[in-house]
Amino acid sequence: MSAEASSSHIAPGGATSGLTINLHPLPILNVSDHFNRSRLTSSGSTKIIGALLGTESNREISIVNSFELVIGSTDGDVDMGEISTSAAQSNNSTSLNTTFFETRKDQFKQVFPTLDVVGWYTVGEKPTAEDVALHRQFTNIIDTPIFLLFNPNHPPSSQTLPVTIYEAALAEGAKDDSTDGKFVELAHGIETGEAERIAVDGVSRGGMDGEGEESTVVANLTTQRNAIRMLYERVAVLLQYITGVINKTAKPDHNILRQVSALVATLPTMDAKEFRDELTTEYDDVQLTAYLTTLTKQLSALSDYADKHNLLHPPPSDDFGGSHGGSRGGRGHGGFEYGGGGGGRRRR
Amino acid sequence: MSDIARKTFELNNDVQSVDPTAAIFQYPREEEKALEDDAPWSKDPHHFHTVKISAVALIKMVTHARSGGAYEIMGVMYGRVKDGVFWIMDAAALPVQGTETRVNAGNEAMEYMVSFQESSREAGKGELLRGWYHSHPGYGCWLSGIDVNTQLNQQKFNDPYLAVVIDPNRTVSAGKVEIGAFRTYPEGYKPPSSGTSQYQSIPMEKIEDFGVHADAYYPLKVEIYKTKLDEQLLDLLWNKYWVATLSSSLLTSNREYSTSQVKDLNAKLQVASSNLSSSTSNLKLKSAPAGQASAKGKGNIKDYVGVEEEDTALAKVAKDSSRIATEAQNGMISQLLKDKLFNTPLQAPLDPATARATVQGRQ
Repeated sequence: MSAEASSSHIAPGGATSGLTINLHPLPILNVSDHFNRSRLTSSGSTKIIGALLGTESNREISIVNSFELVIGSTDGDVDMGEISTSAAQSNNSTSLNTTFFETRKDQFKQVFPTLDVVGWYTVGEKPTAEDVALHRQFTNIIDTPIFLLFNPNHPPSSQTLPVTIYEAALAEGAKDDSTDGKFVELAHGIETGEAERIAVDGVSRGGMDGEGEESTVVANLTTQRNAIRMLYERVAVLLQYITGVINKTAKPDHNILRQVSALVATLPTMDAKEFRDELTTEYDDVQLTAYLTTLTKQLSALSDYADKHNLLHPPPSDDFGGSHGGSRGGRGHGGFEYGGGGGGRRRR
Repeated sequence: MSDIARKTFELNNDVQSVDPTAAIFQYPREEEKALEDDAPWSKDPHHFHTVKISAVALIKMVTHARSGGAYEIMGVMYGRVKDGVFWIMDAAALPVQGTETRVNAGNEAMEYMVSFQESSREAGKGELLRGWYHSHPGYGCWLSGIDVNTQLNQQKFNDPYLAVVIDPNRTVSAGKVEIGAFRTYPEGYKPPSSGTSQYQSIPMEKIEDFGVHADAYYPLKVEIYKTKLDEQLLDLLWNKYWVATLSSSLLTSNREYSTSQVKDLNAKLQVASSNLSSSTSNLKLKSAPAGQASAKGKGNIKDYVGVEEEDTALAKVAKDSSRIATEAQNGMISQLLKDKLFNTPLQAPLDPATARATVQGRQ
């Protein structure tokens, strides 16, 4: 993304293996947490590294989780706490503690059996020689690892995430010095699971409780409006560009123009009769749900009223139960119909 | 990583002074230890009133809960305690396979927990075990009888300890995280009448379990905390994934769950309708101070001051029903919006100024 091609450890325009990368919010926030923790608890000279967990299928990698790793000797008893940072430094400070890596990997495998270690991360502005060395070590323990670099010194004004993903540049021919020890950047997209998206949204908004008592309808509408605003703003940018091209103030980029044209051609997105019918059915179902809810509420209110009335003004005679029972029967029937309707609506 | 980078970051963000995370990271262990020795929570059953969960821990728990599907999952939480507040800083899954209705940690899970925490400490995460979380897929956030026992035991031997319950199904259907944090009362403790306890919808087959133990524990206020860096990241993330809001349909992804909800509602309605003939039993007349209150039915005594009422079965059903309807409406609203946006040609040209004002919510 924003990494400068001038860095000596990036092969500009190098051939990538054409992997598709989907990055989930959790690993990003996890790295941020790791960085914060290290910044606030240790003396600050420790290099932050960790492993990326995810799935790989058909050249598509999804990074869904991550865990912290330790640098240090491989005998496994190096404590990264404040006490023994000096011990870690007396060792080769750029060697990965593989014993720790294996332990941790097994632990995560037990709870998330579908996830594998697909790569590793560190924090910094650009890949360094140290990173290249570490990447070699990872190559020894996992197949074609990917490398995520988190830049905490990211300009806040930038609209991109402070995350860059690399893989090792492919060597062309037997021994090619120009790509040896270099990274190539991989494009990545953001992907979220449904629950994850809701959790992230919840965190962004801040509260879970208390103010959460406000109408869910309002919250839902706000989310929708925010998304539509994003869409609108992006369309506005395109519009501005096209206006520019027409007025000859912007350079026509045929690639972009073709994409815009393709996008416009997809509208209306869905106008098949089947879709219409389905939407109408769904709409009716939802309205019916609302209608039946209103009925239930009314019945409940009426029943409350009747109960109170009967309590305060008990009928003098003994036919209390009888006359009352009559109205009850009617209500019971209403209830039954409600449920039946519900079952039918979802039968599809 | 370079020191300069870190310094600039700190300067740019003014992290040290206001960031609550910084405060909790720098909270001296000795002070916490002293608090543990003093154990004010053993004297006051209500000592803990709030839990603050970090963004990472929350997302970890919710995604883990969702990954269990119809099965309950379980995990542990790490963090610190201070001033009657639990700070949950991290969460970890446990290798426990629950069923649809229960989850329990056996010896293997205990061993796993110990070795996991050992490794965490090695990686610089020194926080102590502060609680456990598990999921209730589709039946709400509360503690069952088994949960109460587990929590009671933990509070006896591992206090301070917190129980968190997440409902992944309701989270997805309501579009907001359904989470509850609880602590049990000591055995034999009679809680002050919890008059205003919030209504929550519990499926038929669980109501008994819920009702029996509802007085054995109390909920804590759940708050989420995040660092400034997290906040920036979250903003940037929204720039990327807003598309998901427009490209998903709540109605489709919740179909199975809403069907089960309607079924449950049907069952409750049946029960409610058969209970109606005796429904005055949940009305209790509040008598005047003198206390000559007599059983219901003698309503002609004039000094009643009002009617105390519990929700009738029917009223509860009405609440459940309106929740289901609201969620369906929410799903439908977004479908209709999308239909307007992507399928309906404009009737008249759009005025750019009005359009802008509308999307920005200024109209």
